[in-house]
Amino acid sequence: MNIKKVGAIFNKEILDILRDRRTIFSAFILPLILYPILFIGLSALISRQEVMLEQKTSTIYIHDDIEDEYSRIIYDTLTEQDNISVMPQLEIFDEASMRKAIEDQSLEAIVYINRENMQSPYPIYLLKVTYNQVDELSQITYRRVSDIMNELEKDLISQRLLDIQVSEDILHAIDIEQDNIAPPERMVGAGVGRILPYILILMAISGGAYIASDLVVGEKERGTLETILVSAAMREELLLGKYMTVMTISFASIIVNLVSLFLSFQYVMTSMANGSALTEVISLPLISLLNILILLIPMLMLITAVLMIVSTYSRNVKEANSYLTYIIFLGIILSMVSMIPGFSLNRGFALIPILNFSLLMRDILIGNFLWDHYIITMVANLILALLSFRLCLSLFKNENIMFRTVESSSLSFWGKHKRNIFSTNFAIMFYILLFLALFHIGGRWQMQDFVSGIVKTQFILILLPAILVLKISKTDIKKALRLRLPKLSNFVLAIFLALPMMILSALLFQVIDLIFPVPSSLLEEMNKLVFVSESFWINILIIALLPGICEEILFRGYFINAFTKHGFWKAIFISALLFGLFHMSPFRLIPTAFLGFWMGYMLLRTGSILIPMFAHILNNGLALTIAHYGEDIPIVSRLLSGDTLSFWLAIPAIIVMTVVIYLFERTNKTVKLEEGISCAES
Amino acid sequence: MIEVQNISKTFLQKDNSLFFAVKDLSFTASHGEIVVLLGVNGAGKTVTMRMLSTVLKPYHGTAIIEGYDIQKESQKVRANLGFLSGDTGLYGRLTPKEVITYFGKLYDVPSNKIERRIEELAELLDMHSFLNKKIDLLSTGMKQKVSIARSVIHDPPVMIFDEPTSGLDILTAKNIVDFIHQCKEDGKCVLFSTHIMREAERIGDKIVMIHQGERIAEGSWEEFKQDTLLHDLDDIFIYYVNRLKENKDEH
Repeated sequence: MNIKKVGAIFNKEILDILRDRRTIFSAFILPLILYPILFIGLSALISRQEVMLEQKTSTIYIHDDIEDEYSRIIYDTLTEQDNISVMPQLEIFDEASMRKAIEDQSLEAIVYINRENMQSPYPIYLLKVTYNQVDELSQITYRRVSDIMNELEKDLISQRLLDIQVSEDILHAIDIEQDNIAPPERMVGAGVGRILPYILILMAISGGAYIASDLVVGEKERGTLETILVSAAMREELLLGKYMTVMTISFASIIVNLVSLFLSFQYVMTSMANGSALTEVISLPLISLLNILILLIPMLMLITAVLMIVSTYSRNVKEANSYLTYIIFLGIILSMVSMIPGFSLNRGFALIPILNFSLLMRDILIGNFLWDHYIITMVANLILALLSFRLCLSLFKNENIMFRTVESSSLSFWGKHKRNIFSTNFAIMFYILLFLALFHIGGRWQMQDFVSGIVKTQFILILLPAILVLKISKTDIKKALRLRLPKLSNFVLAIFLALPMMILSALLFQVIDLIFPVPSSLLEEMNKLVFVSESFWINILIIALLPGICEEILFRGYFINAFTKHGFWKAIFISALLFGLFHMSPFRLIPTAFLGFWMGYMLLRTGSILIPMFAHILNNGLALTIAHYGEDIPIVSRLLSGDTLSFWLAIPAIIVMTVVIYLFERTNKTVKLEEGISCAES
Repeated sequence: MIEVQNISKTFLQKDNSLFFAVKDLSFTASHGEIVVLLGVNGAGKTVTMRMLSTVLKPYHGTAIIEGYDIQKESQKVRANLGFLSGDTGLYGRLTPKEVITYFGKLYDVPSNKIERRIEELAELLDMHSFLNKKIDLLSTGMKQKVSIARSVIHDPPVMIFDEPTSGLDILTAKNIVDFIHQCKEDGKCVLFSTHIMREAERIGDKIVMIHQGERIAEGSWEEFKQDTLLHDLDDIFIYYVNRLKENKDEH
């Protein structure tokens, strides 16, 4: 690779972008104007409004039911106020019309004076203030009235104490004094730390998005891409030059944004404090800012690489923009995490891009972060950035991607042609539909009544759709499901596979728990699954037998067939992933996908759905048995320490599994992948 | 010198079967010669030229350009190649001078040589008046000249023109045709594709007719006329297309 050439490409791209007024405006000019307007203009407007409201007089009506000495005092105190005007007493008090008057903003509040606790020698007065919370002046009026009355109460109490000759000190026993050790800049950091990561990430994604899509797919659309592809430059040089351009512009844009944001913020704070002590407070420590900027680079590298992947992969700018919307959404979700109180960074989260940056940045601003988190975050983002760049490069070198501009997937799926239910498109759409149904309908059913909810979900949302889609498309159901008797020895093998499979899946769950601690609510929910009913046999029926049949028919009977065109292992892998996702928990994804993987394996290897069904029932049944009776079985109880399995169990499990899989391979040598139904057939 | 040796290109169709965009195509083009690839839209002209410019990989066969194999030494092939097509764009926010300089750098032309070459090309193509204007502000004819200059900044021995005149008016198209003749005079090897019979007749020293990715005839118009005993260009082309069909039906 020739660095000089990369430089030439970089220079040209920068020149080209700097001449684009739109980019310059949105990347540099807009932030320079926007933040001052937003902060200074808006805050000036708000304080002006507040002052105006404070100057306004509140009109109130006092309804005095007591008319004794004290109620008179209350009445007079309110009347004496400058900013309160008390309506003259009415002959007939019509409560409904007065309430209406508050709603219409012609009256701000009604004050009812009543007496409480008639027996007490000291009268207690109850003031009910009727006001309208959504009307600002009415709300201020409430505050005014209660402030005045608090003062009055103090005076009255002092008077009472004086009457019985007791010192006012009787009212004080403990005083509290605050001594906060957090330095002021850290307190600002804590506040800024919640919102700033979110702003930074959003700027990084949206700032680079336009340029990235202009630089690859934009060139594709304008017909200039081919001219540089046929030039003597290497693809690596071209992509790197473009990549560096996007990086540079988004980095520069972020800096401009930050400076503008910071200056506007400082201006507002200073003017609010009237140029006094607060100026120091909002200057953040330089070292924190430096740390953040260093941390920003690998994350920006990753974001840029992802944006470039989208731009390279897309057929046209329109398509790229629709993908970019999803990426911005994902970025927003991951970066909003820093706003969740109590959610803090650990080593596991430090592996997740964007999330790691946003949480770590919050810690840095508070002035309290761990170096191992810092390093893991840097390295994780850097590795992902390099991998993404490599992926982008391989797309950039792929002629099928670089030379396509029109939609290749035809719309025949929606047309009059015979619908192929085993096409990838249909399978994915069908899956999304089921997923949503499970989420919205299944969840509601299970909330209403857990047991019947599960039964309904299994029958109506899992079994029925699978059968319906096969029936409606007039597919040979027996063939699609691979409903045939395999060699009987397979059942024996499935029995031997069930235990190691379950142990390994449980250990996987434990490993995930170590890295990303599983929330206790999920554990409770899973526990609930194991004990849906008092009776062990009803549990077996609902948690083992039913899902074993229904889920196998959907995933191994239908879904896997949509992917067999990609080959044996890919079909197993994809259907396992779908199976894992279907359990709707990121923590359970890998353990369940692991189970799904071997179910899929057993299906395609033995050529019969009966084997994975049997194994599925066995797996769930075993888990139930251990949960119910584990403590009573001596060997099992020894292996269980508390609720967790010992990790050394993985060794015998893997050994047994390897042997059983070898035997599966030997037993079913004659079974072909094509024995089910495949895409090409229908 | 271009030597195309039994080159084929396939694309995967929706039903997973292979579609031959170019099938077993061979021909040669020498220095000082203009070879025309003639065929209707979708005949495989663009795919062939893209394979020669190394941006598409052949399925079978290969081609040798200036002694370099398009698959094994793709970068050297591209360095010896000027490529111009009818639908290529230019960077609208840059000036012609900037664009040509940029391509000079992409082709490893030394900086001082780039300037001299731009001067030469501006003279040849009469570009002095707009060399420093934004390309967005130029007329189609001017842009076409910039495209030509861009593609020959490195003075390549081999030129490939992929339907460069499509969609151009007569006067603009003439710039290109003149330039192609200039290339021939300079001793370059020129490959030119078109679907217009008249154009092929006027420009080409040798014509390679292709249909459905296959070569159906090769030679000069005089040879075609003697071979088919026909006079009309369109009739000659249709004759060869029909002969291909008959051959296929027999098989």
